[in-house]
Amino acid sequence: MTRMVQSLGAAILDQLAHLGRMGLFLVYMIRGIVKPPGKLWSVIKQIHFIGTKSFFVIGFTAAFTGMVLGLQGYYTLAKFGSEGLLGSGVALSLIRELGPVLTALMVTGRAGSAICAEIGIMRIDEQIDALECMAIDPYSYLITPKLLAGLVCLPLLTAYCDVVGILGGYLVGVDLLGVSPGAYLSGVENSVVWKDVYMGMVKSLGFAVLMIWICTYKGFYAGVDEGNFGPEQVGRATTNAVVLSSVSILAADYVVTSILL
Amino acid sequence: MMVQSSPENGSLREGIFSIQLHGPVAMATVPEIRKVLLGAAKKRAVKEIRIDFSRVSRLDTSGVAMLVETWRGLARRGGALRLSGLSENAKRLIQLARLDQIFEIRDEAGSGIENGS
Amino acid sequence: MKREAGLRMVHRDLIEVCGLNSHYSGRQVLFDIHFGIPDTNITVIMGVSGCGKTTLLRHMIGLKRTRPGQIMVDGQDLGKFNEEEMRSYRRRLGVLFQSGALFNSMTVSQNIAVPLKVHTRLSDETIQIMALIKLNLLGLAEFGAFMPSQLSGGMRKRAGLARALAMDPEILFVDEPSSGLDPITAAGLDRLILELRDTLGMTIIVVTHELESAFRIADRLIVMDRGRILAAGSPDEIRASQNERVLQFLERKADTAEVNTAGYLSRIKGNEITRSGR
Repeated sequence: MTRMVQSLGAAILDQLAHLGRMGLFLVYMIRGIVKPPGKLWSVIKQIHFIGTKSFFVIGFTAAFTGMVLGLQGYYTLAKFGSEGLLGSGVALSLIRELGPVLTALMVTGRAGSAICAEIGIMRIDEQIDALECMAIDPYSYLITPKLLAGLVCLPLLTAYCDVVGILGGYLVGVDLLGVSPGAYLSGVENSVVWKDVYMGMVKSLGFAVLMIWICTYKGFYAGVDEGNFGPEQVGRATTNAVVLSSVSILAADYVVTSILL
Repeated sequence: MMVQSSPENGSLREGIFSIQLHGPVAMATVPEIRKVLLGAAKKRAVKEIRIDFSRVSRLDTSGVAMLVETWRGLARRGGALRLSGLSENAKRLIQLARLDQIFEIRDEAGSGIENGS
Repeated sequence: MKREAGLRMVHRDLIEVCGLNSHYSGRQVLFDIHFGIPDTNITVIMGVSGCGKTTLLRHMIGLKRTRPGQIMVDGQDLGKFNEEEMRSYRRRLGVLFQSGALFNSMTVSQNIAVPLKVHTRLSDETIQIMALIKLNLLGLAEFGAFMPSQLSGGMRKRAGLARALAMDPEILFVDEPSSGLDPITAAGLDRLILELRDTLGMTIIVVTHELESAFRIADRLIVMDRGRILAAGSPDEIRASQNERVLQFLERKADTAEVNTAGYLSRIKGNEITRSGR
């Protein structure tokens, strides 16, 4: 009986320790912004890394999402005779919700997993230990540049996703289903207000922090708890990172939406 | 961190730029000293650089690298780099870098700024 | 902190380990370790795999947290170091990890340049020359522009050592230098370690299980076994040791005591054995 309580207690304490460690990680990651060494070049390289990995993926995602929205939107609105509102519908869905969320999920899958694997490999090869022994703060040197790059890339990629998606909706709505181009475009123009764009951007910034935080954290501690520093640990860390990131992004989406609406 | 980088201690006479270095010639002090030496090595009028190490407390790899850069600047124009007053440790370091054949090392431990050959 | 190379008179202990105990997830791996690392000497820590020597190394370089009072560096308590003090201490160190631990995304020269770029204001040209000097020490002068993945395991180790030497460290820690190297390269590395001590007065701590190498370079030997120090002293003293396990280690006798014949026979006969039949 006591053994059961003991192991339950141990499990809870373990989880708390992990959460604490993750929290500290976030603090160090942010503190790295003001600590030396100089990061500009590193951030630029990371922006290139994240951006190039995600560009086509986001393009495809956005195009097809926009097109599906156009289709679904049209048939739903047609029931109320409001086909003219298609432009507004597609634009608002994308800008407020789907743009930030889908972009974040796609980038997590592509760049987030790559980042986690890269750092995980460094961990199992003692490269992070080497940095520490050279009196170089690994957070400031390795992790913070990725955070800054994520904060730059994700909003830009989201905006790109929004635009391509709206065009996709146009393609289906206007060229396929016969909505008047004027109605579509003026729908977009009139219903989108700054508050919507703002909401989308705040979300993408928040998702960027979540994604980079979780993916770098998982890579950083790959193998550390098990004491086993092998490739399977990196694989496991990467899978966990992508899953946890994705789930967190969706949960955070709800929270932010309810706050900002 | 004392290097007399003022003109009077790095003196130029008959094409020979002589300078006496003080204190540590190491990672913290090398950037400053380097400016002086490379500046001299670039000047057309300078045909030889003589550096007196007798008051140098410590030489590390960055100092040796700086000497290589100075030598490169001179060698392009056929100039020479002469070092004197090196401590045993400094000589060993230069030997470790296999550069003892490239720099001209003199053994006189004098106070350095001499004329002529 | 005088580094009078070639003047090996009275040595003070640069690092003193006093009663170090260490655990990994509840399991104790080091038991009451006491020894000192004399400066400008080469100290070799020897033992079979799993004896705890790497854990000991990690404590000394601050990668594993040490409780106060267990390790002294220059008379200061390593266990009580704050971030700033730890950083100061580490700037005096060079560490070679077992795999070399080179950063994969940059060339060998760029690897060596990393600590120089972060900690000094030296120009890129100066740093490049410094990297070349260090590479030449390791016989890698032509390989500066190579990526780590293009090098053999032995070359990666040597490049890792070049990087460990980048800042002209006072104290050099080397984890298993000869493992994975052919005898000729290993001997060359030993020669270099000796040269570093003689020419630069470096204090060097080597962790290894290679006997020839250890006896070739050590000023002091520490033999470890299962988390404890079996013997410590000069190479001659160790060779003269009467301790059974030391002799066993030195003569590389197979460990007959560990074989659990009864357990093996029982299993092979197909009897039911509980999982903890170790």
